This record gives sequence, structure tokens and C-alpha cells, in this order.
Amino acid sequence: MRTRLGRVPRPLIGLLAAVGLLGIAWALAVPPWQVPDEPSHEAYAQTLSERFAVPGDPHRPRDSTEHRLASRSAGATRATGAPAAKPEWSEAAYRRWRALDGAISRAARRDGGGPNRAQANPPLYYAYVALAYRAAYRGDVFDRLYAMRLLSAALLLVTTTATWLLAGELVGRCRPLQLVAAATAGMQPMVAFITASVNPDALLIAGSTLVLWLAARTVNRGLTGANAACLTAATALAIATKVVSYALLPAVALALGVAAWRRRHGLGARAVAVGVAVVGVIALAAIGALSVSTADETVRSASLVSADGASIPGFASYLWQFYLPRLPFQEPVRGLAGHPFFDTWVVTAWAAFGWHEVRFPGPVYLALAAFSLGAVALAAVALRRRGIDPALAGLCALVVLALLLALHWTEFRIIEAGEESGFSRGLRELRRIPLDGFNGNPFMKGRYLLPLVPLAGVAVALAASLATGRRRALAVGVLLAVIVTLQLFSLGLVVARFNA
Amino acid sequence: MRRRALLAFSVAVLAGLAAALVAAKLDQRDLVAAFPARAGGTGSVIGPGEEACERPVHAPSNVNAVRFPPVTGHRPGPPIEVRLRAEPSGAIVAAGRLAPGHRASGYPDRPARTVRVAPVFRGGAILVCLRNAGPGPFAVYAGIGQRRRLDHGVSLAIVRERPVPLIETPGEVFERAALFRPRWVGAWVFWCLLGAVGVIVPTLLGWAVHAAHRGPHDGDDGAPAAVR
Repeated sequence: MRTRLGRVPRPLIGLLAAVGLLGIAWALAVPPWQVPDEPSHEAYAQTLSERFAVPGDPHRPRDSTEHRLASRSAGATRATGAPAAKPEWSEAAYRRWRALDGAISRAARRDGGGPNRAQANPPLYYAYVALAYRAAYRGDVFDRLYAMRLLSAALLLVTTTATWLLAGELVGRCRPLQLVAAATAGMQPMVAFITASVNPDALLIAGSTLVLWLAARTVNRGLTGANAACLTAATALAIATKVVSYALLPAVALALGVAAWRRRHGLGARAVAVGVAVVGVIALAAIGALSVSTADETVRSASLVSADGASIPGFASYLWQFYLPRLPFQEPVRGLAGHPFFDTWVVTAWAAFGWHEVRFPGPVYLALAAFSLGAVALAAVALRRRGIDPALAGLCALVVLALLLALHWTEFRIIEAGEESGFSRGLRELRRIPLDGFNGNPFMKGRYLLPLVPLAGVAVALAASLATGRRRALAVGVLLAVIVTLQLFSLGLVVARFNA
Repeated sequence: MRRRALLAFSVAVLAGLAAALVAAKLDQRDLVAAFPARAGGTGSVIGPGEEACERPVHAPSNVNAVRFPPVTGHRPGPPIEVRLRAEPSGAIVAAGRLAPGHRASGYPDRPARTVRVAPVFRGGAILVCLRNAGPGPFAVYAGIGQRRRLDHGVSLAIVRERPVPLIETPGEVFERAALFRPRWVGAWVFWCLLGAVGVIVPTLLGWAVHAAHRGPHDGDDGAPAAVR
């Protein structure tokens, strides 16, 4: 055991310790339920923990009595998405809640479980955080909520480690560059914020990162039973977390196919058996996830499975208007207000906390956009200079394209059906904003792009690789400092928004 | 090379910390307590001679103003007395007055009025009360007999007339942040986290940067087979 631990690179140990502390800080700094959809996810986890069932019973309310009492007392709803409103600050109100909470029975935890916007999700993540729920079972609702957050925050360590390993496969065993890549992924403010909340995106980000690393490893090191089994397990884990993980399948298939092709002369019955097992496990995971997800009307109407009636020209027009200014002859797409590309890829992907209302001043996002564009451009130059295995390039491209296609298609279907995502509907209803006056994408939010964060980390590392010798040392030091400073400011912004 | 990396990291982090301190100094806040209105119904009308009070709140000693949006339906409003009463005695510990003639539309997000009150030196639990000192009614969208929800903003707030830099109120901020958290969390936890995030995390990262440039894989070597 000691030997294995001793083999963990020291820079990674330091980074993981830092990321762990930041995860704890994020979990505790954010007030209860001030994360997108956290009330729904917490209700799901509570239903699973208390009743060993997924939510969706039409004869029950979504939230338990205990949750409703705590949410009302903490002023969670009034502060949701309203920058000027604060959650409850009064010590007296807190004492009143304690008295009321002490008077209710444990049955008040079990009377939720009704229709829930999160019920389309497979139960794996909720089963994971339910471990924390049960561990803190003797405590009150906040003890259990924050226990779940802290356990979820531990997934930051998985994301960070897997990005370190992915960088090792894509950039090489260069510790400074691996450090930059892993720090970019593990300390990216939105990744930390979302992972340290009760939200299945936490496991989705970690799982996708694992899949990327294992797929790259399989391409690099060849098809073995262990590689295939690990890649399959990670893919199944991602699919059993969120339906959007189907977008990983083309890349996984490519990795396995390329690795098998390169070993085609050495393939025997055992390899074939491994291949069959791989396909079987993925298919089982897919069927399991789909059987849960199709119970939800929104997913059924918007998923990739139901493409009936879709208009390809309409989709092309939607994509154009998402990324580029509308042309004079194009019909405006409802809901695509403002600058959807900038809002999705920069603002809500980098730093938009709470229910996305906690933001930095505008110029900060321009700087982040410049940083992102610069990193991508320099990474492209580095790739051109270094060269890359086409299979690895295809693997990364497939992940990006498949995820974007899945997300955009979902949003397009929602727009076509005249519906809203659970998030925007929930927020709009909470704040009583009329549909026409709601300035936000119907579905797309930057946090859905976070499964791509390990590739962003690798891109930053590749950009840094253009510098050599002392200049690289300088670049690595400054990049790490910029990332940790952005974390400091982000945490400060959140604490000030809710408590000052 | 590793010294250069560590030096670059340290200088940049110190610059970031200094920027954070400056930002906290420049960020001035005046809010002490807020009473957003609750959902449902209409605004609460306060008739001539009537007084309505909010629920008690624990206020620090430097409270000296109350902000609220009086609704007069575009007509000149009556004079309004703002009274801060000690809880539970009900004694008036500070008072102020909004002169007659103020106008506001019927919308709750229209500009709020700030009424200065004599400083409350004692601190402790207080009630915020509004008394109609004129002949005509006015309405508030507050928790007072509250009926209407505000979509944006705060309907009634206790404020400091002179805002205070964020950097001067961390204790107050952490006291608030510790409410509605796990039972073991107090303001001390946030002080510890401040130290962890401001000192320990940068130190750990500095050590990581240093260690990354010390091993056999600190340069361009070790490119995997994938990189051609």
C-alpha cells in the first residue's frame, strides 16, 4: 500500500490536497438549495434514501414536509435567482426553525417523492450521495444536505486525477504540463461549484473524464482485457448517471475499434469474448438508463430517440443563430436572446453561481473569453508542431461533437415543442417572470459543457507546452496562480452575494 | 528552473491576493437585514394613524437607516414615521421620518426611499415599524401584513446610511453564513476556510509547482507513443 502511495507523483498529491480544501469550501459556502436544480436533486436523493424508490408518484408532493419547512425558514426560494434578495440572516428565525424541526416526526422526511424534474435521471448518482444521507441520518435536514454535498465534492478528486492521467496520455509524462491540465479541470470555478453541490453533473464530469482517459489509454497502449473492462465500466457509470452520456459512445467505440484494428492479427477467442462483454455491458447500461429516462415527458419529447417531425433546415438555422448573428432572411428562433454562444461558452461555463445570477462584472468574462480563445489557438499550434495520433484526435473530436450535437438537438427540440427546460421553467416560475420576458436560453447552459473540461485542461497544457525551459516554468507558475486567484474571487463573490 | 516557476507562482498569487483585498475594500455594503415580502395577495395598505411592524431582527449597533418602497399610486404620499422598537419591551430606540409628498407608482420595484433614523447604539433585537402620520393611506410591499411577493429586490431593509467596506465585516458575514448549515458549522469554520483558501491552498499549489519541476519528467521528455 505504502509503495503504491509512494508512486503517486508529489505534484498531484499537492494539487489534490488543494482541490479537496476548495471542494470543502464550496460545499459549505453556498447556502442551501442555491445551486441550479438542487432542490429537485436533493428531493430525489431523499426519496431514494427514505423510500428506496425513485420519485414520480403523482399522489405525492415533490418535497417532503421537512424540506419545505427548512426551505421556507432559510429563505431559499425568495433568494433564488434574485440578486438583491438574501436568504434568511436572522438568528431568531434560525432558532424558530430549530424548534419547529425538533417538533416534527421522522415521517416528515418520507412524505415527498412526487413528480420531480430530476426523475428522468438514472439513480446511480443519487445512490452515491444517499450514502452520505444515511451516514448523517441522525442529523437534521442541513446535516444531511451538506453531508451529501461533501461526498459529492470528493468527486473533484476523481476529475482532477483523471485529467492528470489523460494529460499524461495526450501530452506526455511531463509533470508541469500534467499539473496545469489537472489544475485547470479540478479548479475551474464552475466545476468546483457544481461538483460540490447535490447534482448528478458532479459524477457525470468525473465519469466522462475517466472515460476520456481510459479511451486514450486504450488507443495508446493497445487493447487488453483490463483496458477494455475499465473503459466499459467507466462508460456504464457515466450512462447510469445521466442520459447525455450516450454522447460518449461513439468515442468509446472508436477507441475500442482502433485498438482492436491495430491488434487484429493477435486477436483470439479471448479478445472476442472481451469485445462481446464490452458491448453487452454498454447495452445493458443504455437500456437501464433509457428505461428510467423515458418515464419523463420532457426527455421523451426532446431526446435523440424521438427525432420524428424534426426539421433539419430548422436545426441548421437554430445552430447558425446560436453561434452567429441572424441573417436577414432567417426566422428568429424563440428563446435565443442576447448572445447565446457567449452566454453558454463563457459566462455560464466559467463562472455564474447560485441560480446563475451571481456573476462577475462583464469585463471579467471578456478576459475569460480571450483566455479561452488564446488557449485553444495556442493548443492548435502546439498540436501542429508536435503532431498527434489521428485516432486520439478523432477520439477528442468525437466527444466534443457528439456532446454538442446532443445538447443542441435537445434544445432545438424543446424550442420546437414550445417547451422549456426544467431549469428555466423552475426559475421563471419562482421569480414570476413571464415567458416572453425571460432572458435565457430555453435549455443550454454552460454547466452542461463541463464534461469537456478535461479537454480544456489539456488544451491549456498544450498551450503552455509551446514555451520551453525557463519560459515554460514561468508560464506554469503564472497559470496556476491565475487559476487559484480566480477561485478566490469566485468564492468571495458567492459569500458576499448571499451574506453581505 | 523550479525556483523560477515557484517565484512566478508566488509573485502572481501575491498579486491576486492583493487584488482580492483591494476588491474587498472597494466593495461597500449597507444592508443589515432584509424583509422580502412573501408570496400571494396584494400589498399591505397602512391607513392614517396605523402602525405596522416587521418581525424582530438582530441588528448591530451601527444601524441608522431603513429603506423601503412606499406605494402611493402616483399621488403625493403621507408623512411616514419609521420607528425602531426594542424587542421585547417595545420601547422606541430610534426614529426617523419620511416627509410628505413622496410619490411612487404601484410597482414594487420602483425606487425605494431611505429614511435616516437616530443611530441605534445598543444593538440587539429590534422591530422595524412604519407609522402613517398623515391623512391618506400608503402601501408597502413588505412582510408587514404582507400579501404581495416581490419578483426582484428587497421590499424593506435595515441599512447603514454609510456603507461599510466588505473587508471590515467578515465576522458579521461569517455569522450569517453559519446559519442554516450543519450543526457543527459556526463562524469559526468560515474563518478556518478563509485561512485554508487564502494561505494553505496557495502553499500546497506552490509546493506542487516546485515538485513538478524537480522530477525526471519535468521537461519535454517522456512524450508518449501517441505523440508523433
